[in-house]
Amino acid sequence: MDKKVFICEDSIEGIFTSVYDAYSAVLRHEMEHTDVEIITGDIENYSMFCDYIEVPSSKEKSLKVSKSICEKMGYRTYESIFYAATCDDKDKATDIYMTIVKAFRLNDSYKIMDLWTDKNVLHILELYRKAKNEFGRWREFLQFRELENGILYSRIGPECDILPLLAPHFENRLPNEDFMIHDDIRDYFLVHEKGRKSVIVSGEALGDNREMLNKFSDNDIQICALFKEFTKTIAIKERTNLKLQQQLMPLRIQNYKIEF
Amino acid sequence: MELRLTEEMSIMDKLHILTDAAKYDVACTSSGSSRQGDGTGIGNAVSCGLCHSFAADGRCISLLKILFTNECIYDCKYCINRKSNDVKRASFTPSEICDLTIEFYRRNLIEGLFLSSGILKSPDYTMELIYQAIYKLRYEYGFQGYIHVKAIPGASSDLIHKLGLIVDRMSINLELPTADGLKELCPNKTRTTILKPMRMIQNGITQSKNELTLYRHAPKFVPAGQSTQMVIGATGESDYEIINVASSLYNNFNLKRVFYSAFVNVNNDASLPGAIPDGYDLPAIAENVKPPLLREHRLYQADFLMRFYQFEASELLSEDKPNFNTLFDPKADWALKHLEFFPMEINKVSYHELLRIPGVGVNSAKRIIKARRLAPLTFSDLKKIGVVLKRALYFITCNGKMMFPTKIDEDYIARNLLNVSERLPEGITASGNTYKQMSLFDYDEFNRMNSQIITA
Repeated sequence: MDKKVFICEDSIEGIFTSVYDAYSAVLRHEMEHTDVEIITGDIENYSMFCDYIEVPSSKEKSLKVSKSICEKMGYRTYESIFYAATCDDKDKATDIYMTIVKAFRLNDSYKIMDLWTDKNVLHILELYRKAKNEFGRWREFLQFRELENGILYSRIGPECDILPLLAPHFENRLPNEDFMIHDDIRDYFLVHEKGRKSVIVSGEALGDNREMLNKFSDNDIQICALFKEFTKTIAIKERTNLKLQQQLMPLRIQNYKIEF
Repeated sequence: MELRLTEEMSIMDKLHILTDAAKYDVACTSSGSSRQGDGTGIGNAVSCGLCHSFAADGRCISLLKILFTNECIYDCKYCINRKSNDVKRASFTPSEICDLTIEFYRRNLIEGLFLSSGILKSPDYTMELIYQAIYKLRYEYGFQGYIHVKAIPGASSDLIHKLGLIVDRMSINLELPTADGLKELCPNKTRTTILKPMRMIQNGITQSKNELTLYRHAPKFVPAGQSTQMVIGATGESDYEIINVASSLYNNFNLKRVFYSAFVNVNNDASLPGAIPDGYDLPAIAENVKPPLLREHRLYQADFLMRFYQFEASELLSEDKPNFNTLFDPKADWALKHLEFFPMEINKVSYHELLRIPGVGVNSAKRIIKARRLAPLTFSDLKKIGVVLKRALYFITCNGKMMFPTKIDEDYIARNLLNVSERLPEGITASGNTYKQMSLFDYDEFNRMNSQIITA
């Protein structure tokens, strides 16, 4: 039988919609699970003997998939899949699909994330770990600067698309601050206004105001100098170990920090 | 209360002096406390702790680690702030501490405040000043992040209790592992003045936990637990004594952490190790006198074995063998001395036994337990799970087979474990099963003929 390739938007909604469509096609006996391939974003190379199906994202379908993952496989599985979906990886959507299929085959679907021996599940676990670590890193390492208009601004460059996941942490931590976090690589913002829920804003909305992101308040420059002095002084000279420092905080992250 | 201010000094100078004075304190983790912000102030606490940067010595910068003041009435020999030292002295005011903390915190530069202090006038007087600063930060500035405060040995119990209710973690430095060492180096401190407040905090924590089971909103006393630290290598005690002290602190005082700090002779005190006599080229010698970092590392490894790997102090070292092996970590060392337990069958042994295999950590052990319920594990699965096979392969079997034919022999395994560049056991490469490129020069006949040609 021909392979069926589902092409969807690179988002959790897009992937789940494709999962829904593919699964229902299998249930209608139009194909086997092994014939399913899901590709996110634009397709680079077309193969022969394949049917290509464009899947428009549907909120309704994706919610159904989320609900059944949460109810039948547990929140831990949902979290793993959600984080894996933020990674930049070409096989992730197919592996998410196969993980869901294999979970239904287990007697206890809640245990699917313990199936380290399976290659699809293993790949999802690897991606989950990668995204979770990346999330953890930026939660710790991102630094705000105060702009001239009093807004806190931070620029980050994460390898996975984890910016929206940072929102709950910082909302809770700085409820009475206006702040925005800028994903430098994907060029969009997480904007939080005092006392409200955060929103996602694309970089284009900023228009000609980009200049203001480089203008920091006088107070901020002073505080940063104090922090630089603090980080310099706190190191014990006799124990200097720059290699360890770099291992714990890679260069790509050091580039975004004020003390370097 | 009247404060002794040093207004003429800029905040930058003060920060420099008081950070420099605080840098030898090691207990700066921000873990153990989990608290959501209530929306009115600033800050929350995450139970795993967050490190916001790393200093040039590779230690994390998690908390704003400063002293309240570096003036001190005590004269501990290893301390840079002792009263007999002629160093620049400074003190923060409570509002300076609050401003600094809040300004750093809202920029996500730090996770909270670590406040220690030299002893100004008396322990109670200093403790009261610290309390004022922390109170101001918590209630006037609405700071809900992590606060770690050092309790001053000899401070009164109600001050410690008051302070314990508004901070996350408290710690009292044990300073030196033995009472004799303490007597020798810290003439003003005694074992009793250190252990008494430690016991007080422990009782407070237990009481607060009991209250919390009855009343959900009862105030929490030191929710992140208490810790302590010891200076390693300033006096002559053995590793065995040190880990016994640590183990009894964990068992009898319910400490969250014991920290070890490799001794750096900052005062160049002649009675302490690493002192440089007058008239020598200081920088050149200082280059060679390094703090005992490997020893510190081994102690931390042993500490983790005791806290997470279900090891007892008596299993790791004994009176006859009082110090750690410099070549092997304590766990590998234990395994080499107890080869009768190995090889262990990965698919059968208990969690407790899995933890004893070199190369298997807490995470991998948990994963193995879960994964083997669903399918039998092979060596390639173990690799994916995260087991360090190059170390574990001598100690395990999968489905009754070892990874390579290896000998269960102490010398053989020790030699191979040390040979870090080569992943395969020695026997494999030597017996013809080699991964090396073949070369004419390996062929004996060729060498013999070659030498004949040369002699001819």
